[in-house]
Amino acid sequence: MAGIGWNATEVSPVVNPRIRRVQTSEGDSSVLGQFQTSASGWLWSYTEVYLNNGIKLRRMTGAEKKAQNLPAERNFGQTIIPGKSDDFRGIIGDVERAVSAYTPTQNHRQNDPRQCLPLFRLMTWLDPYFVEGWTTGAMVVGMDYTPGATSRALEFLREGLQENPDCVDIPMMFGMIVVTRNKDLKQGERFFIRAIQNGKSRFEILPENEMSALRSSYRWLALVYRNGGNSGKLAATVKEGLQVFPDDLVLPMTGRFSVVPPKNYKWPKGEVRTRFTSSSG
Amino acid sequence: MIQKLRVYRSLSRAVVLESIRRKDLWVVALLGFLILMGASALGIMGVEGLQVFVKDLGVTVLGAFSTIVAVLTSTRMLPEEIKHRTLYPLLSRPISRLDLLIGKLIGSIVVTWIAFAILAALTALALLGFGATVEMIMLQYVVAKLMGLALVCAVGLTLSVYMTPAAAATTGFILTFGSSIIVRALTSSYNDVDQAAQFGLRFLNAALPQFTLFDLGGRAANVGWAPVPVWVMGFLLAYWIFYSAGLMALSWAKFNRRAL
Repeated sequence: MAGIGWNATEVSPVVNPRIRRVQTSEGDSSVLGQFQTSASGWLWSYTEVYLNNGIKLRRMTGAEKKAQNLPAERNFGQTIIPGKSDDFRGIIGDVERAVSAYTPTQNHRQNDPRQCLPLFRLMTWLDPYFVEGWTTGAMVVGMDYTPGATSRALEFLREGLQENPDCVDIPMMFGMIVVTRNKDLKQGERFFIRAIQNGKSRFEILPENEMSALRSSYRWLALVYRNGGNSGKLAATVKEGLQVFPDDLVLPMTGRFSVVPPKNYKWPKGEVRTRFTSSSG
Repeated sequence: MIQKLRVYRSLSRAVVLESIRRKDLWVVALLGFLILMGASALGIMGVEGLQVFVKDLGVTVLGAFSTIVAVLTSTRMLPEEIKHRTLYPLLSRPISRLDLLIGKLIGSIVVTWIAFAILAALTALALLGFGATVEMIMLQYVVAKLMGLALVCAVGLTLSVYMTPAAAATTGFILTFGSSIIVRALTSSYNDVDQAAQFGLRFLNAALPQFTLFDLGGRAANVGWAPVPVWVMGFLLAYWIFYSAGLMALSWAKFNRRAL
């Protein structure tokens, strides 16, 4: 048994993804590591409650979706405390709805996501290897779309990247922000390439979210090459991406402009191919 | 009547003194110190924007610690009296067994309320340090919590009459901390079961103590929730009194037949 265990090298990375083990010598099995992960996970789930001003939601069950003629394949939110019409408890149910943070799902107001910023800061401080905290936090930081907000979001991501240099999500998000907001294709290209390299190096053990980020990185890199006029690299990226994700329907379409840009459209920095501009007008 | 009140006062005073002698309230003060330390640790991150989070954490910790005190105090009083044979001199006086139970219940409620007051004061100190504002709903939270803790004491005392102290404490913790899970299980499964099972769920809902009704923490911690209507507070008061009276009747029925 010990011999089998000794040779089973692939078990450990699957159970403890390398992204965390590389960063911390004590590993996730330490008490501190468990505490960090639990605390950041709790804070992560708490952001939803925070956004809903204390109202706790749950996913609808299949029976509930069926009863309301809602599509079974989609997820719908439902308050944890049932509404009056669905509650058999009578006055006890009325009292619970009165003492709890409760309003019917359709009518409750959501708090400004920016109010959750301290939570993202806290969860990434507690657990710097919690990648979703960094990426979602950066999106919230940069919600304003102002240059200041964008640079703060990039600074937040930079911190995350220092802590998690081999993850896929953070460089992908970094590249996406610099391309869409700073129109900097060169820098974006570097980040997408890094995300793809990171993803390929750990492809066998990539969790679902990182796999999705890897797929997005191929798409974004192809778009960068398309807008940069580099058809050779575009074709190579699409080809490589389709080898990794043969079912992807978006990648083959990245070679052509789906929307004709208006005449006053400001082209991104870098080498812009003239073929499209000359053909469109 | 005055004679009865004197008896209750003496019995409850003995419970409080016993609690002080056992240094229970020191433990509470230590827990409160932990709250302040935790708040200080959060302060390292910068307090701006964390008020709602800190408030929620505060009411959660406050509720958990005070519930632990309530369960432990109420479940061990009577078994210890029996174990140390101090029950006999008590019952040799002109007091009934029901008086003894009521006096002990009042004593455990007083100890729990003192513990809650200490913890609440320290939590309030921590919250004010974070710049959290105190609203009307906070006052209602405290009042409802005091009633809820008194209900926990009644449940704990009743369990200790029917079970060993360890079993009573464990069951008490399951009922108090698992209350919301139990209630959610009842409400979510009701529509998926047959009529006989629905009757069973209705019975369980009526029989089990509804501790979640006394927790206004969700409203108190978050922003912009209006105070709870007066009729709701009245309902909570009536529920506490009637449910506790029912539990005392159950306890008395068992304790009165008990050979000592």
